[in-house]
This record gives sequence, C-alpha cells and structure tokens, in this order.
Amino acid sequence: MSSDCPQCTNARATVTDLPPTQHIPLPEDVLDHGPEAVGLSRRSLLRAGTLGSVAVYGSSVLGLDTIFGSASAAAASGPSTCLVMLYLQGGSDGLGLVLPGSGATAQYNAYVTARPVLHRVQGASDNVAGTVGSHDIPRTGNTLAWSNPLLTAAAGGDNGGTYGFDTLWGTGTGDASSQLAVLPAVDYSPANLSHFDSSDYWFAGTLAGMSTGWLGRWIDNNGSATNPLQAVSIDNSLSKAIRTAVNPVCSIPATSAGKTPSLGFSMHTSGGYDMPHGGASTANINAQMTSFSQVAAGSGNAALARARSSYGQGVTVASQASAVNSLAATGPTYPADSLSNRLKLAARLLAAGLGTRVVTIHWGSFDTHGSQLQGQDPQLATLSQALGAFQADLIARGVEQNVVTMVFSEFGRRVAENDGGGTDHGAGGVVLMSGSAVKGGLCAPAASLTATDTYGNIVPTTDFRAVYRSVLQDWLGGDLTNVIPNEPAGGYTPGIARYDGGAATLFR
Amino acid sequence: MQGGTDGVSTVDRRGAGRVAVQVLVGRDRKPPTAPSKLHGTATTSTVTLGWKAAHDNRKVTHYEVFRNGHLVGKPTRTSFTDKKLLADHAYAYAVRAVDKAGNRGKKTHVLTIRTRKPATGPTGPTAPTGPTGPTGPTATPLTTPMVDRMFWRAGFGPSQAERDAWSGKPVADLVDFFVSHPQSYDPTVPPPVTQSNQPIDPLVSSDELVMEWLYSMQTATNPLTERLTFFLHRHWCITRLTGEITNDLLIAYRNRLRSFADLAANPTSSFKDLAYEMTTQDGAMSLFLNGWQNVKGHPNENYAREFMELFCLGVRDASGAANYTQTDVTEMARALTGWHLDQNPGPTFGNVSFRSSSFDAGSKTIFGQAANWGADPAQGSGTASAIDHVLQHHAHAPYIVRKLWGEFIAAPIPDDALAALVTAYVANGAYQLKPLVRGILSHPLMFDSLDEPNMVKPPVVYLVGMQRALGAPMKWFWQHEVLGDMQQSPYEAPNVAGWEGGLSFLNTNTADARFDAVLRTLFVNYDNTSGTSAYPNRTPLPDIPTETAAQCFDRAYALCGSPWLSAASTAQIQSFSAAQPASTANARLQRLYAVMALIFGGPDGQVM
Repeated sequence: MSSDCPQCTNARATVTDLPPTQHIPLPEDVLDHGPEAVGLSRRSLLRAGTLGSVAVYGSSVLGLDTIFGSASAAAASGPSTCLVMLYLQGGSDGLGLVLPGSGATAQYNAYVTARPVLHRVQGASDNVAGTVGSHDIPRTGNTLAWSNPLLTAAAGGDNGGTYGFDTLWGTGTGDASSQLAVLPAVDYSPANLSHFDSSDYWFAGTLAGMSTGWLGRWIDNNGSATNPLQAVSIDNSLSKAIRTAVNPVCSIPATSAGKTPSLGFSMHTSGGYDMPHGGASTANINAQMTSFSQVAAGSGNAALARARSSYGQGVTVASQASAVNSLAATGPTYPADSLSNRLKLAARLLAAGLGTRVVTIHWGSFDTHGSQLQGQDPQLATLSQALGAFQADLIARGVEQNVVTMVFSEFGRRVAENDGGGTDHGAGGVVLMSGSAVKGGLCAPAASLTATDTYGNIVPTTDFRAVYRSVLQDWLGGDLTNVIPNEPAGGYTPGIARYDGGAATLFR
Repeated sequence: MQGGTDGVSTVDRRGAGRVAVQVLVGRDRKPPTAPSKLHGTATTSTVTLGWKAAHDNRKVTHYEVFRNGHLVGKPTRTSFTDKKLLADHAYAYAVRAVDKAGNRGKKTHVLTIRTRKPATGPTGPTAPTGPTGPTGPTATPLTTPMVDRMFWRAGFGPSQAERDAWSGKPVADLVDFFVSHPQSYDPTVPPPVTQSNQPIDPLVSSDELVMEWLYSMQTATNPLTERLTFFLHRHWCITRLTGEITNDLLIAYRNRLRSFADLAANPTSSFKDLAYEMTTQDGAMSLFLNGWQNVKGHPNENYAREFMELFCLGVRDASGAANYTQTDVTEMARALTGWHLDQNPGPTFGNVSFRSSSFDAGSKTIFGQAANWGADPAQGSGTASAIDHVLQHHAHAPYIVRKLWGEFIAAPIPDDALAALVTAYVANGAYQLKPLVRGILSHPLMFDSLDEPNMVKPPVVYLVGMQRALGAPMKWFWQHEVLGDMQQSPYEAPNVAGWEGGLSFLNTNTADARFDAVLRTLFVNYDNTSGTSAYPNRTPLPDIPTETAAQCFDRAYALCGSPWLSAASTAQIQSFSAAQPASTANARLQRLYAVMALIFGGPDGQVM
C-alpha cells in the first residue's frame, strides 16, 4: 500500500478473527478499591456500578468469582511491574519528534535540504514562514532537538500544557528527574516498508510470522490461567501484541470519560432523523432487544445466534457503560482526546490491583503521505501532554514506580519529503520509554541523515528486539523462553547504548 | 416469517395447551386447532389462499375464511379463491376451522395480500427464457420461502410481485432468470438527491459516489448483476481511503467489474479476461497497488504479491502446502513490469498502456518454470503469459470456487460439488463465471435451513434490501455514514483483503448502527415536512383510529414486505404492539413505526 491507510493498519493490527470467549462486567468499585471492596460474590460484583464490559479471550470460560479471585490473589502478592504499550498507528515520522539540533550543523543542513517545506526551524518558531520550531535537547550536546509540538509552554513551546516530554525528560542525565528515554532510530533491517508486515513483526517480536504476540507469549510463560485482566487491550478488539496461546487476556472498549461506544437502542437516531408525525416512540426498545436476544437460535445457526447475542450485548454494554459519567479525577489535566480517555482508564486499572501486567493502546493516524505538519503536529502535542498527564495521574495514585510506558510506531518515514507536503514509508522510528523507573536520557545514537540507504531511508541504529530484550529482562522479568524467538547469543544488534555514561540499561 | 405463517404456530400451541387439560365427557366441547401456514397469491382480481389443515379430536368439517373481518367462504378443503376483488388493493385474510359439533377454533394470524396492479407500467419479472432443468433437484417447484432465499442470496430480498411470479416455478427457471435476464433499472424509483435536494454528482463527493452505486442496486431488475459486481469488488478489492484514486477512476473500475458480472450481456464472462484487464488496463488498481511504479530495474512487489495471495491462489492450498514462494513473487513482479499509467490531467488520465522500455524482458522463473514471462504477450509484454501461468496453478480454481460459494451459501462446499464446479469453471481453459454461478445457485444447499435463515446480511445488502422493500428514496447523505457505522461502505474496504464478512459484521457497535439505519430509512420514506418543489414530500402513513394492536402488527409486517421473522419474535413484537399507547393519532403512528423498526431492524432482520 503506497499511501495513507490508517484504517488498514488499524484493522490489521488488531485481531478481528478471534472471537471473545465471554464478556464480564468490570465493576467500578473493583477498580477504585480492589476486589475485596465488594467482596467476591457474583451478586455483589453485579450490584456494584460497572465501568464497562470486558471481552475475554482465552480457551475456557471463567467464572466471575474465579477471575476476581485471581486478580485479588495477584494483587495480594505485592506490586508487580507493568508495561503500557502505546502504538502510534501508520508509521510516525521520527524526524517530526526528534531532529538534528544546533550542535549538529551538517545533519541539520542535510535535514533542511531534504525537507524544504517540512523542516522545523531552530528556535521557538519562524513567524514569517509559520513553521513550528525546535528546541535543543539538553545533555545531547545539542545534537538533537525536540520538535516544538512536544514542548510545554514553560519550555517555550506551543502545546500549552502543564506536562509534556520536556517535563519528563528532566535533566536527561539518568538521574531521578530523568523519566523519559529516547531511542531515535529503532527498527529491523532491511525494512520492507509495508504497514501490514512491519506492524506484524513488531507485535509478534519476530520476523518469522507467529500468530502469538511477544507480550502474549510472556503472559503464557508467566501469567495466570484464570485472570484475563492480566493483559488488557483498551480497544474494541485485541492487540496482536498480547495474543496468547493459552492464558486468557481481554479487551475493554474505551468507554471512559462517560463516552460510550454504543448508545443502545431507541427510536431516536444518532443523526437526528427522528420519526415523522409525532416524533419517536418512547417505548423501551432496549428491553425489547434484550428480550429478542434471549431466544435461542437453532443449533448450528451461528449467524442468527450472533445476531441475537450482538443485540443483547449491545444493550448490556450500553447499560454498563452508562453508569460511568466520568472517571475519578486525580488532578492532572489530560488533553481532550481519545488517547487521554484510554490512558485514564489504564491508570485506573493499574492502580486497582487486578494483577494487570500489560496494557496495550493503539492510537492515532500517522500515515502522513501528504500535509504532514497538519496531520502529525496536533497528534504529537496530544501525545506529549497526555503522557505527561498520565505520569502525574500514576503519581497521584501512588503506582508510578510500577508502570513503564513504551511508545513506538511500525516504521519511520523517508528522510526526503514528497511533492505532497508529506513523507513516504521509511525506516527507523523513534521509541520512547517513559516512567519513574525509566533511567531517562538518550539511550541510542541518532541515525545519520547523510549516510542513508539506497532508497533514501535512514539506517536504524537499534534493533527493536534489543529494546524488547531490555524490557523483558530488566523490567517485566520472569520466564523469557521463546518470548523473542531465535534470539542470537548476546541479543539482536545494534542494541541499546547510553550516552550519559553507565551501563546499557533503560531502567533504574 | 413467511406470509404470516410461523406466528400462527405460537398462538396455536398456546391455544391447544389451554384445552388439553379438559376432560372430554359427553358432548364434544373441544374446538379444533387453528389452521397454520396461511399463505396466498394474488392476481389483479383474485386471491388464492392455502393453509395447513387444523386438527380436531373428532373431525374438522369445514373452514371459515374471513376477508377484512367478514366471512367470505366456507370451503371444506384447505384452499380457497376469493374473487371479484379490486386491483392493487390490500386485503386482510384469516381462517378458522369448525368441527362437527360446531366448535370453532382460533383464527389464523392475519395475512395481508395486495392484488396485482393492472398490466400497464413496470411489472414483476418477465417469464424466463432459455433451457430449464427437466430433472433433478432444480426441477423442484419453488415454495415462497425458497423464492425469498434466492432473492436474498442472489439479490437484495424479494418483492411481493417476485414472490407471486416465482412461487411454484422450477428452481432452474429462477436460476436462469438471474444468470440470463437482461439488466435494466427501474425508472420509477425516485432518483437520489443531495442534502439540498439537488441531483447527485458522484464525482463531487464520496457520499454521492456511494449513493450512485446504491441506487443501481436498489433499482436493478436483475439484482444478481449488482450483487456479483459487489462480490468482484470484495475480491479485486481497492479502497478510496488511500486518497489517491479519483472518483472517476473508481466508477470506471466498478463499471469494469459490472461488465464481467452482467452474465446476461456477457454470457462468456471470464475470470481470466478480468485478470488481464485488472493487470493491464485498470487505472484504479494500478494506483492502488503501485502497478504504475513497477518498472524494469525497480520492481514493486505489491500487485504481484496480492495477485497471488488474494486474487488468484491464496497462500496455501487445501493440503496446507504453500502455493508460491517469495521468489515467485519477485519474479512475478518483474513479469508484470511495463504498464504505464497516464497521470496527466485530461481525458487520458488513468489510461494504462504498455511501454516496452520499462518492461523487464529477461528470463524469470515462476513456479520453477523459466521463460520470458509477461502480463500480455499479445501486446509485446514477454513471450509467455504469466497470468495464464498463475491461473493454471492447481490452487486457482478451488480457491475461486470456494470463495464464490461462500458468497451465496452458508454450508461448507461438499467435495463432489467442488469437483464439479471446478470442472465447469476450467472447461476449455475458459474460466467462465456463468456456469460457476449457475452451478452454485442451483445447488440444493442454497435452501439449507429455510426455517431459520443462516447467513448474516452484509450491511450493503441489508440497507438496499430495506430501500427496495419500501421503495424508499435515496435521499440526503446519511447512507454513506450509516454504512460506515455498519462497517461496510463501498469503495472503503478496511484493506486490500476486502471485508472479512460473515459473523464479523455483527458486534455490539454494528447492531446499534443497523437499527439506526432502519430509523433513517423510515424517516426519509415517510417524512412529509421537508419536501421541496425539486423533491416533493413523501406520502405519510395514514392513521387508522380503529386499528388494534394486532392489526398494527399486520400492517407493519406487510409494509416491511412480509420478511422472515421467527415465531418467537413475532409473538414478542405482537406483545410489544399491544403494550403501546394508542389513544391518539400520534401514539398510534409511533406504535406503527416502532413495530416496523423492530421487524426490519431486530436481530431476525439481520439474517437471510
């Protein structure tokens, strides 16, 4: 596919052919106070207000008592490390986040030459051209700079928020203030430039075509056979990254912030095309749909069974989700965006003590073949603010030491811009690692913009599996057998290299 | 529910259950059961009814037939013809049984039938021509549920006229109609209009682009042509979401597919010819899968890979063996070089032509065979046809046969049917679609699970089906949006693999969207408040002050085109109708709309 196809990556990156084995309600009290707060009986769980419906993927159907019992037991065994995997869909341009700084003149000049329209000026902004500027990143020898959408107002940027990547970056020395690691050019080689293949590789943790995800295999090795909340996709369907062979995992739709994906059924249309002659009936259509759904279809008639169950679940989800008007506020101001809604739910989940070890979020539309500045910059600003707010949220909930967030995209983009004010598929995107436990700073070299490959793409400086190795070994721990298949002795290279001294680790 | 039949059995069982405990002493006090499966057909002046016999502990002596509540006949047999009726009028019938002691059983559920229009203007399907199967399963006379099944699977649902015309005819005749009846489009259906009630221009917006195709589906007198065109779109899938394919190229692509789907106009329509045209002529496909960028020395594998993986072979054959290797893909890409796409603005924009200078004329090895493969040697592209070579792969014919089968029939294809269809398809190296489609539509598994339909209506079929049933106008721009909500909008497949389809079309979000689609369709069809001189008001539904809840259900059911509805759902909607307020005209109309919405848009309305 040669062009903008956000829906492609979206569709392919989640498993649509894997039906959930069951749906369970997610009670609000459980999230806020842990499973013990409501006891573990089915009745009390259902009596509590529910936040949403959890689609469970796994080999067997589990009782609610079993699920929350496992969650409770997991929580009781003490805090565990958690990973939030945030995937930027479509191939986010790495040079739109982190670009050559004022201390790398030749690289910056090459960048400007390759991108006469898209380049960012040095300094806050170029009011004449209206171009968003850049800001040197401390402790990189000014060889790298943030693009301005990532910056908060306090740092002279224009995203206006209280929190942002510059806040998380701190001194960038690996000290306690440095909570953001930057790896500027991560990928595999040679890059094949396909959304489908590349995202599949990143999710599988291998180029060898496996149906399970790298984090799914980690859950199979180390997780519970009875707690689907151990790995959660905050989405309508499951991320391939947590697709398992054995253990249950789940997806929870982004129903947070009072916004529900399904409104249930009424005689009022969502588009305002209400019935003529006296308006819409006020009859309880939801009750009628539930009633329809309770009639069994003939054996073997999967189509009618699916139709009836979908309608019934539509009502269930709507009624459960409608109990949520807003998430409990913890202080930080998130930007208004679906990413924030999902991160809020993630913070709440991770603080609830449900044994959640992995959260996945697929977000955005970064396949910017045209009009890249208008397409990418607002999303980058949101990303920066939302991750800053997420960190503050975790701190307010007292779980910031347990949570690390990894941000990646399936590839970076071509160094040279195209004729449409955009960039084509390239190699080597930026990976960000954020969290209190992250030993922040520059953790891999930038790629050269002058020594590109034959297609004009950068040569990645870090293999994505080396980053996975660090996350697995130094953060999640446990049995790592076959989580990264066929790993060479010493891991995939090139690996992680710190530029602030010390060992090649991403974590404290 | 067909012609009000299944609803009867529910009422039936309940009635029977109540009397079963009575002790029979002396005089027979036990009434007969209600007759069941009341059905009928109409001419311009007569209605002929039939039903399944009632049972009695002694003997049913005769039946009483009611038209609009008045007794019109006392037949002793299970059929009756009502005569001297007005043309194009709806009549409501019910039947009850009487036993020797004079006990009268419960009436059947009301069946509403409209007499035919006088024989001027457009009518139902014309009498089929061509050969009919004299023996075998296709000689079976069609029942009404069978007619409904065929028109849902090969079209967008039946009209009453189509039911009347085809009931009792051999299956083979109807199959022949689908594959042979010349296409035309019913001009009496109001043309689509924009938000400001102006004629649409499909080149201007994606909304109008979608409406343009939906209108063809809505008005096609031979719906198979449009269904098959949409199948070919699913198969040779492109999507406008990449933003690079202009609307005129999308329409040209659709028209190309339609020319292959129109089996009446193009009886020798061949998948092979289509494969050639897609590779060497279609501008939209060239843009979408980068065929234009695939040049000598700079091969682009995108089209070559999908040609094998999605369009012709599939990744693996039935035994699980890989159908091709990465080398085959790269060599195929070389073979398909040289097809230039004209991207200069002007009348030749989108034309594809061969340029020998960008063709890689070297030897390529595909499936282990070395030759100067090209897409079309007749045009100078190589000396051996790589397209023919791929189609001759053992995996090709079963791959296409299975996929086409799955478009029409829910049950897995039996081995003998697969073998026979493959043979018909590859006969003489022709790869013809007509014998393949005819063979699939004629297979008895088409009528599997007639009592309870077992395929999910694809969203496009569901929406067009409602529009056809109501004759609803294709008005304003909501169709595109609601199709997107239902996760199937033409030209907007999620990726090159097309829609996953089947059960994946139904989830909690799309269920909501499907109900929404009904409400919008009802609104535009009955709204009489927003007409303009360019687009007059629709005729609203009349209030009937004396209408009972049961009559409301019957009217709604007939307005919806008497679709299949399970006995359980029928009973539930009748109860729903009875629970609604009806003291004012508005309340009664709201009841009527709500009942229609539940019939069209409930779970039973989602299967075909």
